[in-house]
Amino acid sequence: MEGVYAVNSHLATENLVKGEQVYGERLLHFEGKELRAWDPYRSKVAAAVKKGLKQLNIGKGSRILYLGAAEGTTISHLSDIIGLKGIVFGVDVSARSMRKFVYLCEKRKNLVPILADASQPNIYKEYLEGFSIDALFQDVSQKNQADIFLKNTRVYLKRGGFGFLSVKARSINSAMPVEEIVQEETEKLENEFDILGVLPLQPFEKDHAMVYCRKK
Amino acid sequence: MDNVEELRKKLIGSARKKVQEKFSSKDVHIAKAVNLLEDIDAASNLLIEQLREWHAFHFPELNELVKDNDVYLKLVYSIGERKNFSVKKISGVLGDENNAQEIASAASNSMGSETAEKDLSEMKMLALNCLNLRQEREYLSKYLEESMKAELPNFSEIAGAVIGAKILAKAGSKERLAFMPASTIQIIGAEKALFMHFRKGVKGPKYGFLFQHPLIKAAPFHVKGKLARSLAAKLAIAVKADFFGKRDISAELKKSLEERARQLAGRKMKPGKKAEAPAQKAFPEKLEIRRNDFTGSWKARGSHEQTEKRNGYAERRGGDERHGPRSDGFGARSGGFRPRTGSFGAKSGGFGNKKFFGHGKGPGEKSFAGHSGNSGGKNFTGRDRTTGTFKGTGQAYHDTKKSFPRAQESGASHGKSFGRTGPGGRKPFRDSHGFRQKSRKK
Repeated sequence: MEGVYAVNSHLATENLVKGEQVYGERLLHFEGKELRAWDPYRSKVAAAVKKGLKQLNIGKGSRILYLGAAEGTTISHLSDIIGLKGIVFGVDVSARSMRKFVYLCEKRKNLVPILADASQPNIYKEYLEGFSIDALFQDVSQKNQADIFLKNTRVYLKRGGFGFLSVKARSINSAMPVEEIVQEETEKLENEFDILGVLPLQPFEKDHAMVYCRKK
Repeated sequence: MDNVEELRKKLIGSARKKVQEKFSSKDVHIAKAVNLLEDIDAASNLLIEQLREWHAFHFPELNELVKDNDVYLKLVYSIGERKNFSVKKISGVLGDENNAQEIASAASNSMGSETAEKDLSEMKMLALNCLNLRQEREYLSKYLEESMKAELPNFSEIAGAVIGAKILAKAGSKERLAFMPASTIQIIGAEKALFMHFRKGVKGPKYGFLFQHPLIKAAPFHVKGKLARSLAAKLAIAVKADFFGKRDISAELKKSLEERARQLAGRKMKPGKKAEAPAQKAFPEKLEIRRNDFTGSWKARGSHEQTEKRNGYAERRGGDERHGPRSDGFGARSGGFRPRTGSFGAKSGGFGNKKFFGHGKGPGEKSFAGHSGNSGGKNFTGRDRTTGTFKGTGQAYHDTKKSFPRAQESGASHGKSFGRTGPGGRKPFRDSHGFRQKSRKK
């Protein structure tokens, strides 16, 4: 996997901004590089990798749209992976967490913050014009997660681009068994995506699963 | 690459601006203030408790005699040492001779230990800080009242400043609150109970923050839920008036709400009639098995009138005025489970049907048959047993069957194991699960 290191069973990415921690993670020194430990308990993408995700299909220069950026924990690692030639657009509605994310964006030259509602992709359409998005990550606590995912991928994700949807089962239905919810959500994607894998994220996240797919 | 950098700069700028805008609204301050208010209450209670414990080493009688926290703090802060508790000094703080005499005599005859000056001065400092905290709380609640009045005059007039602010904080913003339906306002603050309802099928909450509302507090038990519904409806109207207009309609709303409260207060405990007729028509044979309603029947048995009427009670309770007639075989259900009604199933995406129907046809049906075997007007007006999961109940049924075959023969049913003995009131026999059983001899 490009840009992702495994050091003593820790996942790690090479630090883009030397000497700086983003969220108090450990800095590891390995063969002269500075690596930032990638905590699967805090980042669902890392959890998915731990749970057997073989490929992230992103690398130097990738263009990523990330919905549900929050404070940028996961994004900081994606930003490590894609390097300065790539770009990540981080979308989030919450002003409270956007505050921290903006500070992060000022430090990392490949991050762009967008304070907007991911369920209305047209609002930020103008900013993303001319960029073909290679991979779309989504981690939002909304009931209509799959719809939001589809709406965004239809507009922005290029053909053959990869989608990573972390299904938050408890945001969709507080009573149904997780497997059923995940299956339902996955079925919604099947028309437009090849489903490459569905990874339950236990024990790192409760009632979550990562759906990994490619746009047809 | 240049234009990417330009775009990035532009978007960072716009995100900053939006964050600024978002936090410049008045709502965020109200939300913070009301959260702070709660935290201050918790913290000051904690500290005062500690101080009382601590000072009680020195002067335990003071702790017993003075229950009012404010007075206690003032006494400890301004007098402190036991031997200084003279009538004159105490009444200087209290302004009340009688109590002062009592405290002074307790001080001269105390069980407390001698305590060094240094220890006492620490206690005094703590008392001072507690007093300051209480002062701060007072200012804060005044501030909250004022800003609620400025932001949502109608809403806060009806809800009260603190409850209103709590609801506003949970809703997120004025706008979101204005677009909320009354039903949401009614149960806001009871999320835990609501999700228990969705997940496990226990009865849904009737009120959240509104439970603390003086109107609801004063209402008799059996109409609390109804009144909460009316109150929430009026609140929904009030907040819309606040958000979309400037008119003061709080007086009208209040008036009609009070009228409704009066009307409800006059209601009898169990109207019942409404639900009775359809229940009898549709499923006459199921009438004996009433829904085990934890609080409902508990209350009913407690009152004298209901005890007398207990025999008639079973028939009347065939249905339930709130949930309508029992429409499915849930005789075996115990533990405050709400009967599965259509709307419940539909709301939760149909899962309810599958899960609960499965059970109804399984052990549920059987124990149901057991019930109808015993119908001679005897009634097991029961407080039910909350047996946790539904599955557990079915299991209990099977086990009791094995251990008490004779009871089965004589028509005493196991469904009834959750009930009481007949009106005669023999002491209930308990089976191996601790459930009340009819006596084995019969």
